[in-house]
This record gives sequence, structure tokens and C-alpha cells, in this order.
Amino acid sequence: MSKVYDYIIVGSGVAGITIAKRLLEADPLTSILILEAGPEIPAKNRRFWWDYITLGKTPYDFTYDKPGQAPGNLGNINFISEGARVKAYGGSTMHWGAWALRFKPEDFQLYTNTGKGADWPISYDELEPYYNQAEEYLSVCGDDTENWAPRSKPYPMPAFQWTAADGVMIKAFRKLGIMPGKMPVARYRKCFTTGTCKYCPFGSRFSAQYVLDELRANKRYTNFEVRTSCVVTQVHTSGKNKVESIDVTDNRDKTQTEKYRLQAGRFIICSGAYETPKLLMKSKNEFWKNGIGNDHDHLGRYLISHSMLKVRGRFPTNKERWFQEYDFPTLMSRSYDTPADQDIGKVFLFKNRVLPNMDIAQLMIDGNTPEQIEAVLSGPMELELQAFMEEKGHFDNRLEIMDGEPDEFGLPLTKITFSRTPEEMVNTGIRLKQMEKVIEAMGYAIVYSKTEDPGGHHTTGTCRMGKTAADGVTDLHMKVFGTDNLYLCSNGVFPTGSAVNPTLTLTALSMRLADHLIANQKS
Amino acid sequence: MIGGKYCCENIPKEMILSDGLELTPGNIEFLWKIFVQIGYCWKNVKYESSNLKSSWLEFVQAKTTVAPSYTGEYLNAIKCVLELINIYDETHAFYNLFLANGIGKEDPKATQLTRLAHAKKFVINEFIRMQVMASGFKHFGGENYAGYVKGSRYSLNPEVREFVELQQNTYNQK
Repeated sequence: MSKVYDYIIVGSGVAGITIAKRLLEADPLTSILILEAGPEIPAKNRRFWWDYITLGKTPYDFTYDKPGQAPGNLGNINFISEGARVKAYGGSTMHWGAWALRFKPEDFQLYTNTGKGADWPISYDELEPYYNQAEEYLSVCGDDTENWAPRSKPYPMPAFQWTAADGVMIKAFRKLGIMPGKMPVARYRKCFTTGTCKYCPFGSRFSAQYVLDELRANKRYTNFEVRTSCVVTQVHTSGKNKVESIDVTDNRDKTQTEKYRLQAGRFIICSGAYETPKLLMKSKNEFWKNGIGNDHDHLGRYLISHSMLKVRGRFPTNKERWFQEYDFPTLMSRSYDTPADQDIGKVFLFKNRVLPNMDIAQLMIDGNTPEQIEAVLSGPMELELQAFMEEKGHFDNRLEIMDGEPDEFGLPLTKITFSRTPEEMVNTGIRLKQMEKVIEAMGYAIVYSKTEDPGGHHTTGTCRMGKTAADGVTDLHMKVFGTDNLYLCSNGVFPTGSAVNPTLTLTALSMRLADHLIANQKS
Repeated sequence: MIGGKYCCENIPKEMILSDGLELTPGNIEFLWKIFVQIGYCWKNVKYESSNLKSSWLEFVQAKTTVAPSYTGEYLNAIKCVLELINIYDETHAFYNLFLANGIGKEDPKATQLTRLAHAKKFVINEFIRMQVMASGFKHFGGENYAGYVKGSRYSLNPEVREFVELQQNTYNQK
């Protein structure tokens, strides 16, 4: 155990690699080791892409939580983890939809505004310059005229236009005073609109993999290393304040597991909202009897998801034979994502990304004649309005380590307790009624109107930032309270989840943390 | 189910092993013939299917040179189709294969499939998916489809049928 790295980063998703990139750009000789529990799965592989086209399978499917590995049935509602997170090189950016939306100023002051949930120890204004940089880095395509959240720079790329199939919903929005907007999505200039964004053959949608590949190939970064199939099992401190080392189980050699201990000046845990708190919970010692950073019992708690609301409508004909030709939504609205909506829970509205869905190939595979297919395509059509609804963190909504053998990557199993309060259920009902009005204004008959079970895709809150150790696990710079050299950077540090996707905000936070570390290093 | 002794033979449902097998140029041309027949059956090819041949060859290469290889499945499909042609003549063989094959829905508990069901599942169905995404969808009205390489999003032609403010729900004619 001779080498002492400047930084050890646990997790190779967008947070970890953004921090590493920025640190290396500031000083190319910085020694950084990134440890990733999952395997490396090639990007832009033609066979994988053809299999995605013909079989609907992505090459990372096998890394998802499997039934029984993260049961979420301990509260009054089932919390679903299957399909929510990719455990591999590049993390969940391998499968993300790349919807890249800013939080709004009021999201940082939820408790102040409503007396519920929590406040962030930083403001929107402090993060705004980093939002600009994150949008450039991820190559976000958006509409500058919309101004849903204050911005000091235009989007780096123009928005994707609304599709013809969006038209009927746009008109209904306007009739009801809802402002339609264009979905900001991260797509590089080289996007060829294949619609296979879950596994892009050209690498046109941001993935942490591509950045990692570039960092590894850069000959100036001689002290940069990534190890996949290496799971961190324990964090050790020498005294209360100083993290000294971590234990690693190295599974790179399939025939022989190797275990070792590594040291660094600073440790940054970027393993997502599930694994980050679990690693700290596991790391109990004489100084941290409940796990590192857990003296106030915040780890794993205040688990926040997005309530997913859906209202589906049906129209008897589809004369124009519309179908959603992109693999991402182009129509959205944040008209109910305002300070006035915070009390009952803000919602972010968007049109379902796959409807109207006409799987022409499946109709052919099923043996339909050309005439039968024509009839289906111009027959009844369904559209769906969906929404993410903001949730407020509750102390009893939590994830914990579950007893049992670790998963195939060596990560401990998870168990989740999640409940919705009666008030929250009433509030989702209010929001569904508002959404039903849109479907009715379209002239469509309502097929269903429902709230889905929550899922782990946008989990936040599990190791949240706070102003003091009494209300959070980390300080405003994401340093664990009570330690000098342990940082957390994942969606788990968000005190609130807002109504929109978290990745842009996480990227901005990662950049901010890197700048803090660089400044701190120099001083 | 259609077919003769070969098509109706039951074999394990797992992919046919490809160890030591290779496609000859003749095999590839016969597979191409099957692919072209998809466009004839559904009348969804505007010009010639040959416009798609380079894409299709790349598809076949990817499916046969990387594990798990489809070579065994492709050779099996060729034999099935040859038997169907022998029994029904060429026109009816392909009509029956695509539209009246009598292959029921696969029972997930079954351990075996007929050779024809193998050909349908691993070859015909995948060829159909490839054909539709490579341009066959256009016949049915779309500008884009999952998998179709439409071209740069900055080209003058719209990537999809777009919503136009003053002429709602009509084609963008820019």
C-alpha cells in the first residue's frame, strides 16, 4: 500500500468523471484513480446496435437491479428499482434519456417557501454559472425564448422542433393557458436522429463513457487510472476527521478475486443515490459507530423520487397516420412548476415519448397484410400526457442495506421503505384532474388517469446537503460533516428533487465541487 | 404449419450452433433474396431494395462475425425456404412464409421449436425489423423511425413530420 493518490473517486458516472476531467485540466499530473464496481461495456458497437434494433435489448440490461436485489415493498407503496440504474463504466448515463433541465430558484428554498421538505445550503444564483457550463459540456439543445428558469447564457444548441403529432396537445395547452415548451435534450451536433438514443451508434448523446475514454487516451494524464469491476467495500478513518483508506475487492481477473487497501489525500464518493449512503453505512468504526457521516441518522433517509402521473387519451381515427418519430419527447411545459405550485407539489408536464406508437415491423411480423396495416395505422390513436410530480423528503422514506449475499458486482443488496402520505395522494389527484382537462380539451376520450408506483431513476435526498450536521450529511461543498477529506457527489446530496430530471443539476454541482477542490488545493 | 419434413422437425429452442460454419457467397445471395421478398409482400419499397444492400450486408456481417453467431440460423432458414419453394412454388412459398405460416405464438415453457419457427424467429422477424427501419416505414407515412439514419439534424429536410404553427398538423414544406 505504498502509493497515495491525490484523489480516489468511487463511481464512473457523470459526477465522478466530470470532477476528474476538471481536476486534470487544472493539473494534468494530478493522480486520480476511479473505481467502478461494474464492467466496461463497449459503446458504439455495431453488433450491440443491431441487436438493439432487432431484439430491443441493450447491452447493459444485465447490470440493472434484478427482482429481489432491491425490494421496495416495506412502505405503503412499492418502490421500483429494476431498470433504474446502470452499474457499469459510465454509470447511468449509458441509458439516460438526456433530458437536461435546470432546477428553478424556488427548488433551493422548499422549506422556506412551504414549511415542508428542506432547503439547499446554496442558491440557484450560485449554481447558475455552472448550469451554463454543464449545458455546454452535455451539449443541451434548448429554446432560449422560453426562460423557464433565469439564465445568463443561451443554450449551446438549438431545440428540436415539435413533431406534428404534438400539435393537438399544443393547441389544448394553449386553450387552457398552459405554455407549451420544447424539451431541452442533450444531443451533440453529430446527432443523426436515429431515435436509438438508448444505444446511439454514433455517440451523439452524452455518455460518461466517452469522456472516460478521452481521459484515458490523453497522454498528458499520466497519473489517471480507471479500474472497472472493482468494488469499494469499506471506508477507513484514522480518527474522526481523516479518511485514510478504502478497501477494494478487485474482480477484474474472473478466476481470482483480489482484495487490497488504497490510500488517497481526498476521497470522493460518486456512486449514486443508492450506493453512496450504503458505503458510508457499512463503514462503521470506533469513531463513527453508525457509519461515516451518520451521527444524526440522515444516511439513506429522506429518499425522494418523482411521482409519475399519466393520463392517456384515445381518438377514434388517425387520418394523418401520426407516430412519434423521435425516441424522446419534444413537447413539455413547466407552467405548473412554479413557486405557487410548491405547496401541493410542482409538476413537470411532457408528452409521452413513444405515443402515438405504430410498431409497423411488429404488425408485419404478426402476419398482417398491407391493407390490415393501413387500417391499424389510420385507426384509433392514443396520446398520453405525463408528469413528474415533486416529492418532499420524509424521514421514514429510506433505503438501507439488506442482509444477504452481495449482487453479482459485489455491491450490497438494498431494501427500500417508501410511503406516500394521504395528503400527497390527494395532491396527485388534483394534478391528475388538471392533466385530464388537457386530454379533454384535445377532444380525446380518457383511457386512464393514474399515478405510477415510484421508481429509482431520479432518486435524491439519501445523503443530503445541509447547513449544519443536524440537517444534512454534507456541507455546501458536499464534504461530509465532521471529516476533512471525504466528499460525496451524487443525486443523493440533493435536499430536494424538484419536478425535473436531476442530471444537469448533478453535472453543475460536480463542476462546482471540482472548482472548490482546485481552489482549496492551491490555497 | 406450412412446410415439409425439414421445416417441421423439432429442435432445441436455443440458437443453432454455428461452430465451424460459414456462409458462402451463394448463401448470402439467397438470404438477400429472402430480404427482398419482404418488400414485395408488403409493397413498402419505393424504389429498389438494392438501395439497402450495403446496410443489410453490414447487418449480416455483424450478426455472423460476433458471438453469438447467427450463421447456423441463417443456413437453417435457407434450407427451410428451399423446402417451401419446392412444395409451394416461389410466389406462394414466400406468401405463406410471411402471411400464412401457421406458426403459433411461442410457448415460453417449450424447450423445442420447429426449424421453420427458428427461421421465423431468428431470421425473418429480424430481417423485417431491419427492412422497416432502413426505409420500409416510409411507405406508411413517416419521415423517421427508430433506427433510421435520417442524416444530420441540420440538413434542409426536416428529420420528422414537424408541427407548423400556422398550418397545424400538416407537413412542414420548408
